Amino acid sequence: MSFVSLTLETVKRDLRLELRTREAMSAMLFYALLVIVIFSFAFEAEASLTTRVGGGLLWVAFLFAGMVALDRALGREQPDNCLAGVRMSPASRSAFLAGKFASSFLMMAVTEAILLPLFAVLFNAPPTAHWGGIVGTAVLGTWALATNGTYFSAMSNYARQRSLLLPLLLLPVSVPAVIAMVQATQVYLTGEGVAHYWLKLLFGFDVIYTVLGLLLADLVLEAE
Amino acid sequence: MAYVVAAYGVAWAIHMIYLFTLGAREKELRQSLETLKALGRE
Amino acid sequence: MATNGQLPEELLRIPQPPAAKNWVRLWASITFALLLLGLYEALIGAPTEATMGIYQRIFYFHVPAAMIGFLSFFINFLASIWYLLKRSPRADALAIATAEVGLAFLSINLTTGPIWAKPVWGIWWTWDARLTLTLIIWVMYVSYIVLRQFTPSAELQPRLSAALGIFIFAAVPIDYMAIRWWRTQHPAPVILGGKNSGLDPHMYFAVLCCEIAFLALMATLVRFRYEQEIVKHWLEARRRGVLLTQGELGVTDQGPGIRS
Repeated sequence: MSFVSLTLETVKRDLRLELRTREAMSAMLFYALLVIVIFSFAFEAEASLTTRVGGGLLWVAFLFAGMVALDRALGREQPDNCLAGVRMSPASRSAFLAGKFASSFLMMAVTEAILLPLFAVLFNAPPTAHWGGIVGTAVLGTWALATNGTYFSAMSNYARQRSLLLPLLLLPVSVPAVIAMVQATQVYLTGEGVAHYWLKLLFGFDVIYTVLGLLLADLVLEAE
Repeated sequence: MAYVVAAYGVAWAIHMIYLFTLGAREKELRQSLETLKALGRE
Repeated sequence: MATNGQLPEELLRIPQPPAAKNWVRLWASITFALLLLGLYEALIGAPTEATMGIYQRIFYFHVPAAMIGFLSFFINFLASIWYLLKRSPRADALAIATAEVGLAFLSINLTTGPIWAKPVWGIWWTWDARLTLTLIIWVMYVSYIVLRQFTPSAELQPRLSAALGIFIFAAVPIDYMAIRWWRTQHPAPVILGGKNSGLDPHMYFAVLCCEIAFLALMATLVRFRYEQEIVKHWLEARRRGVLLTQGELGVTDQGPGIRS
């Protein structure tokens, strides 16, 4: 089987599992919703807040939601020791990781598509906001989180407290991506400043870490 | 003056803490080796 | 103690932890002498700076600590690649040693920094480009240590941490750019003129002294930690050997540092 069809098989399998159990998506949505609600209490949710730190609020909610998806990405393989079966198959590990990346990306994207209008309403997004730009940033930013996240999810899979280790590994390395996505979103929300170089940085981050993750996939997926 | 003393104190303290962890690890290793030697003698 | 004749030789081949070795005393005394010289030069030898006064003396430890810390992390990156190519336990021992020692040096840099900033700038911390970058690199290497602590299997540790070491190092240039752009949007407080503008030759000498002293300190600590890790590898391999042969020594001897 080719790399692409192996990747697609992994994606199909993950989505099928998710459609049957709905464990990740429902948890993600509810979790992100709670984050947004808590934010509105923690900071006075006025329109002025959104123009000042809206990008940050949005991305913290996305980040928390994404963490659930990324944790499940490899955590899904733990019952019945599925990962051992994957390891025993002659299929390329890079393709498996690429499939995991694609399925996490899709789940995160769907969650974000539901959250974004909710955010716009609850936080009174300014009417001048450039939604096309925000969606574009969300795609690039989610790509960054998903590619690093699946890699670190595989890495933390061996640990005693995997769910705790994942954010500890993912967040420090993703700092440049987080800066870029928050800044670009902020620019598109308020219409002040330029966003294109943040998008370029984000795209560069995505490409570098996707390549690096696929190249080093064997390191984190090899048998114990 | 107090700031200078504090800065140098902190710098030395951090190294002392690191040396302490090295020492603790050394003790652990030595104990494991002793256990191994004792096992060998039996 | 030994009755079967084979045992004493076996026991001699057990590696010694580094504290019992000869080089430690020599290296430690040289390092200590250099540190005392550096301390003297920094606190007494060098002239007092005109504008910042006595507080400028903090720099003699602050700057070299950062440079040696970053050097240490760079060696960690090289060791990670070395491990990736050769899968040698020696590479892993070097990687963990440099990561820990680098973290110690960078901690010194990050704590002496605010202590200097308070009297001179009037604030403890500012999210200026260089400070932010240093803090993020520090946080990333903390996550490197955390990964090792969280990963129970001694066989997995080197592989996963080599992978993380490379990921971390790849992030540094991107961090540099991101933070630079982020900070140019929001102007940071003006810090200094040119970095080496009119540095007194004696001040330069004092910085050099501390630099060399810290380099010696790093070398000593890294080598010490490295040898500890080699002994740990040996013990790990031996422990498995002992378990396999139920307490008989010397049946599956693999020599120091070689994993089964």
